[in-house]
Amino acid sequence: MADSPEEIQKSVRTYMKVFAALIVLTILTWSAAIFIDLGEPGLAKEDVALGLLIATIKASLVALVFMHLNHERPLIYKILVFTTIFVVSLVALIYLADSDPLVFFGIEDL
Amino acid sequence: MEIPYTVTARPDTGLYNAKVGIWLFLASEVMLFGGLFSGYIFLRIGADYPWPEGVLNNLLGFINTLVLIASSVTVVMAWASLKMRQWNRYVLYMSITLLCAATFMVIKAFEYTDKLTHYGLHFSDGSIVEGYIDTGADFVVLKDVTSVRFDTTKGAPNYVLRNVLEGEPVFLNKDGVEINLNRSYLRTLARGSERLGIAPAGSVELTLREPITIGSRASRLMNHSDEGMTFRDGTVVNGTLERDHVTMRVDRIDTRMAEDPTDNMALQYLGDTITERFRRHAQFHIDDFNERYADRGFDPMENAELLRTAYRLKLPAPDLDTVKRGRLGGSSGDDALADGKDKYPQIQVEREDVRFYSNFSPAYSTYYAIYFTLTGLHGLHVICGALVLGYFMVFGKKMYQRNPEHLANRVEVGGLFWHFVDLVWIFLFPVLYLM
Repeated sequence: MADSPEEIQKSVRTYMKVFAALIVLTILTWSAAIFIDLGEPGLAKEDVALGLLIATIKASLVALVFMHLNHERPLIYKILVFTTIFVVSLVALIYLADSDPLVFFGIEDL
Repeated sequence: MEIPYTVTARPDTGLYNAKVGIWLFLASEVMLFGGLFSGYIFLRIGADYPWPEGVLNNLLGFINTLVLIASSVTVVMAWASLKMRQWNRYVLYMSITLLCAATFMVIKAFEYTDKLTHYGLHFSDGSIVEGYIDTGADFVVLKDVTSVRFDTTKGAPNYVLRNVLEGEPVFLNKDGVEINLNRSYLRTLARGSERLGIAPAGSVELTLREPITIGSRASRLMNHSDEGMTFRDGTVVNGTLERDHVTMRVDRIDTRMAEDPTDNMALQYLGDTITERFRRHAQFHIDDFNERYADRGFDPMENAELLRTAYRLKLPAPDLDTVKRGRLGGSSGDDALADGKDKYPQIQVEREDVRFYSNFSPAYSTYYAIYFTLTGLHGLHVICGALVLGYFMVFGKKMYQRNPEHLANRVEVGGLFWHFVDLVWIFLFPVLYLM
């Protein structure tokens, strides 16, 4: 979009800050996995949650700043809303493996 | 024909068209990788074996994460340089981006090589040894071979002819006459001949003038016993089994799946010294666990992490006194491209004790299947992204002179794809390397 050179200059400084933040967060993920042991000894739900939380923060930084999602036109957000719905459904499919369709439809007595 | 809205925004969307296009494409990409991540979770929670944790070198993964993040910054800087009309800085930033992409792929290649040259062997009692198998070290040798039965419609018994170790394969017919197993004779055998008294048959048995010795890789055999072997094309030979074992250099023992983790086939093969060392190692970690977590009421034998630490031992094992007490496991990953394989103890495993062995390829386990699928697909994205960005760098000058804004938009779109590739890796790193 029609960004003026001054605005670009300003965002370059933001990019550098985000770069530093991403490096710090990467070191954090790595050292958290090695030194921090939440919950039950070993890899517990809490450790997974921590790792994924940091990854999500990093991903958000990349998406918002580098991919300019912090100032984008409405059309892009509309596309992303649908993407999110589909991805969540794809992950939710896993629950089907655990569910019994007969029980689900209330006909388990057959 | 001029393609509309490549530089200026379309009034109704407020965006130039390529940007709408790339976001629609990225939306489909998100769903592609989303489906694969979903598959990963499904395989992991449904695995009927201990999910391999810490088998990847997380230092290499960490470096690769930094490399991709750096490339993400440089690509956005390349775009900013174009916006500020600084061509030389654009080329510089773009070159760094491509260099990062190359670095990433080289490190990935080292990791893949390490996995594909590394083997895991499962004993029939569930214990596992990992290490290296040299070429030809899994030969099955059959001596005193005197007869060969093969399917004449498939031509000569090539599996036999190509694997002769000793003696000359001269075939005799029923009357004891030497035959020349050339094409026309094979045709006659297949069709049958009234004059020679040969019935048309799918399979024919020929005897050999003198006994020969043949050797074959086990993978070419359908099955074999003390009396003979059957090749994959159905050729059957009789003889006496002379050698039937896999020679392996062991760099890790894993007995979690064995009925008795401290007394099983893997340990019997490796001998008393290593067994003794292994038991001390296991006891050390169980005691350590009890000491540290006694008050928290965990059952040591129920804790996957303790089992992983106690019942897996890397060889050659360091002295126990130097083992650091601290967090369990401390997953260090395998040595990348371990050199000097001589330091590992060598064992000869009889074939009847082997349930399964393979290198760490997708065939080894669902873990390696999903690992190679996820990282392989991601690697393809890195290569394709680098090709597109490289094109904008090498052939961009003309467009830059004609309309710099047009090139800037192209680089922005290419950069969006590149950031997405980085974004996928941001999740792949913790999921595959750290969990």
